[in-house]
Amino acid sequence: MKPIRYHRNSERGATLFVALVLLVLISLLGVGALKNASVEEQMSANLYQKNIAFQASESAVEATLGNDTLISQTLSANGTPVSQNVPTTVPGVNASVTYSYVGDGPASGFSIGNGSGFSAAHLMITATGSVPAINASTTTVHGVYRVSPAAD
Amino acid sequence: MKQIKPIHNQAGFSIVELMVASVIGLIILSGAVAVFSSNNASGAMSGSMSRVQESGRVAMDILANDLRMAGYQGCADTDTISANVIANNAPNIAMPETSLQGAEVSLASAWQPSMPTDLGPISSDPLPGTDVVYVQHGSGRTAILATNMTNANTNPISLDRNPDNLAAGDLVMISDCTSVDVFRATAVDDSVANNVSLGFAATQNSQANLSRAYTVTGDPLSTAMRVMRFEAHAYYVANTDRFDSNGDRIPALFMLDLSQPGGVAMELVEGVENMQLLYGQQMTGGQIRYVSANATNLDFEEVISVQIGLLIKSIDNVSSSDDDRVYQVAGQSIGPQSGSTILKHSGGRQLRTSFNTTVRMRNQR
Repeated sequence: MKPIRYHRNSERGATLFVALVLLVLISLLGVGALKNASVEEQMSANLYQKNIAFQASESAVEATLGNDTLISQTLSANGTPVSQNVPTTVPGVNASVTYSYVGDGPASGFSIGNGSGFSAAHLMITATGSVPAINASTTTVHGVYRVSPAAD
Repeated sequence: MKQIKPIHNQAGFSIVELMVASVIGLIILSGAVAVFSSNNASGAMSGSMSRVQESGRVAMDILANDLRMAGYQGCADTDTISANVIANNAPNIAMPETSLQGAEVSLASAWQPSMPTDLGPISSDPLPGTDVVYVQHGSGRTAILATNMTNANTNPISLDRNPDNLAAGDLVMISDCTSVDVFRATAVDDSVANNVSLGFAATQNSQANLSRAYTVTGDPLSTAMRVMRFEAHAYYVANTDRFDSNGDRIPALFMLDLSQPGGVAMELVEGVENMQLLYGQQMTGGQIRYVSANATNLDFEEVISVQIGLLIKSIDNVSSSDDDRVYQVAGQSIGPQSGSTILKHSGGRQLRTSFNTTVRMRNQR
């Protein structure tokens, strides 16, 4: 019986301990790399969504730029801005425009300006594209004017 | 019993055990070293790639945002109304002629078309074979008057806020639908909320009064009267004072801020090796042609969009072999060997990526 006991006492190895420590170290490294990768993924996803919101606001401007009805509504609304939603083809992306009247002034092609018998009503188009799911939004401001005979 | 003791003391490895153990140890160690070094190399590679992409992203962002605004001066139409500039030491502000200007710098460092006089301070800085672009516009971050001006020499004026952090020495643009003034701020006091005092003394302006009294009309949210920073920026590629591990100077994207007297050059993005631009000129038929700055019959006032190309390289040598690829940078080929239609990049074991984007300029035309 004694030889067996002696054998048992001599097993003082640290293999299990060392292996566990190494395992923990390696998994920490792995988790770090994963975290890095996910941060980078978030960065590029954010850029992508920001771009989508930007494109939505730009196309909202383009889509309503020649819209006479909106301009007329705004000019007859006595300074109250007129808003309208613009449909987008991308799911989860909203776009809208707000037309507001800013004032009268000379316009390109009518450079004689005051006294020429024509004046231009300047409007401001404020277009907002947004991706509500991640709180991304972009605003584009664009000017537009309508030339009409000046009220003397 | 005494015979057992020596056995007890001599418990240990036999030579065979030792050799087997060391062989196994060596195999494991060499594997670990190989894994470590390849991990290291791919880590350096992906780190450099991230840096290059990040540089490309931020450089494009800065360039696109600035170029997109070219010619902006608030409600006033750039084609019809030109700014009344009273600021001393201001750049040549004559929009729309000066809202967008560009030049190619030839391999012999000659500017084509000729250099705008404002860019004198950097005349010999841009690297041969790169492009230079110069834009002017009001900033999109605007404020309005908190108190209407009673006459043209109301000075200082009072703003409702200071979104652009205007400070003394900055160029400021004030405009509505009928006129535009550009002056240099000589005193800014934004200690009082919603009442930012902005003075423009004759020390840094040709006179201390504007062309007329500006007033806020209608809804403050949509009023035409705006006060904003005036920005005049030239972008170019030049060498920095720093060297990479090959002993070459590190190139970078620079910006010359001409709103300050004499212009202040600053480095923006490291590693930008080349910048090329193609200008989208709207022809009389409505079609757009994309040409470089030195093209015949290119009128910058007719340019409504710009294609920007950047070639960005990593600082460290991370590739396993020399870069022999040809990159497309806004219609320009850049490869390892120069030729009649191809420019030369510096080669080496650096990573390269080309970035291209097209920007529509809303305020042109």
